Amino acid sequence: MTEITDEILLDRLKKGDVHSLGVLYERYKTLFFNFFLRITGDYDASNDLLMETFDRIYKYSSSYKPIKKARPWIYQIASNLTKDYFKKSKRTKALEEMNLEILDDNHEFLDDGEYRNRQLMSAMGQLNARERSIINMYYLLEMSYEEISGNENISVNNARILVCRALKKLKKLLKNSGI
Amino acid sequence: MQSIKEVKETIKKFWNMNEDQFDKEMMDYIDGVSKKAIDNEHFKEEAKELRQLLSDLKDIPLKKVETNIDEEFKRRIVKKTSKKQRSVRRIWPYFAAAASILIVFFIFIRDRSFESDYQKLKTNTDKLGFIYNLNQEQLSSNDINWLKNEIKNENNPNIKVTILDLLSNYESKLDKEFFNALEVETTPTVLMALLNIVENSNHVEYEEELLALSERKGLDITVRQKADEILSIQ
Repeated sequence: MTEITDEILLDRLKKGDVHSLGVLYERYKTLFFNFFLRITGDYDASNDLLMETFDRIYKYSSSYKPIKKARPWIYQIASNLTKDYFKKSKRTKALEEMNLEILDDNHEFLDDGEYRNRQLMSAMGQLNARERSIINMYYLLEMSYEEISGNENISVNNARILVCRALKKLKKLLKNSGI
Repeated sequence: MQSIKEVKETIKKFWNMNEDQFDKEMMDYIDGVSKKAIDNEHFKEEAKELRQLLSDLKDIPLKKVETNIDEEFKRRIVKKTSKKQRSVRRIWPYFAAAASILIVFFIFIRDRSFESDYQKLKTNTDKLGFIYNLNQEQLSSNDINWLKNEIKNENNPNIKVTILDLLSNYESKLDKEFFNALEVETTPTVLMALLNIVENSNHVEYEEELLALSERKGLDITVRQKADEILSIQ
């Protein structure tokens, strides 16, 4: 059976079908929760941002035009929320401590993969908020450079360069930590 | 391993490009947009490491959303649904009020339309026909006031008489000011129409006006007889 597209769901939501919001939530909740978690490093804040994202999708669905692609429209809402979060919390620099519990609850028995994941997240926490956002938009949300440039209000070329720089910085941080 | 300064110098020296151009080439290569790597060990090594880094990032398992968060979302959905229903219930009285205002507005427009339609008429024949047809309508206070003014302003006695015949149906709504027209009116047919209304009303109130009319010099004999007749009934 063909899956109902995001565009159709948003159009239905616009017409008052609140059930469509539930379908969108099931579709995007894991992705968005991890996106927020990897950017903020804060479990509770990520849950709040997740709820706020769907509140906003509901609130602004009336302004959604079906001729637009739904995914970039939804991602923009999530991305704008992270900007608001950092503006409010004023924690735009590196995180003092990335909440490593986001990876695994058992600290004592980590295999190589889990250990590397922890190091990756730890290094990610040392990037500034914008770098974290851009990297996660790129590899986690798999946003195109056009979409990133739209969100960040920069040129497409600059989006490409910023992704590259952030990745190189992350690589360097990992090297410095001995990986 | 080259330092960053050395790398920048190499980029500049060998490919005549700045760091931005180099990074752009790098991402195009990593994304598979550009199939051909720049022929340099540093570029190839860097690209390989960044690809590995991206692969590692993608391999980090996604954390599941906890069930209490799902529950919270469901609660919000229910709240939104009930809020929507409440807002419909809340809007309904306003909607009804707005509809009432519209009805009143249209009644008002309809009331005003008699006068405005009348003002558009140019010939006396059309005016007479229009007023005659108003016998089929239920006139409002505004209509009556407009017609009372027309009696004052109109020169054509036939139109005046037709208006008076029409107003006789609304005798109870006519005031003293209206009967004062007896004092100034001179056309016998108009005066007779006025007296017909007085006859059907509580004429005691207008005794003075009737006496003055009856004693007016040069008054048409039929009018005088009618005025005396009304006074005698008293």
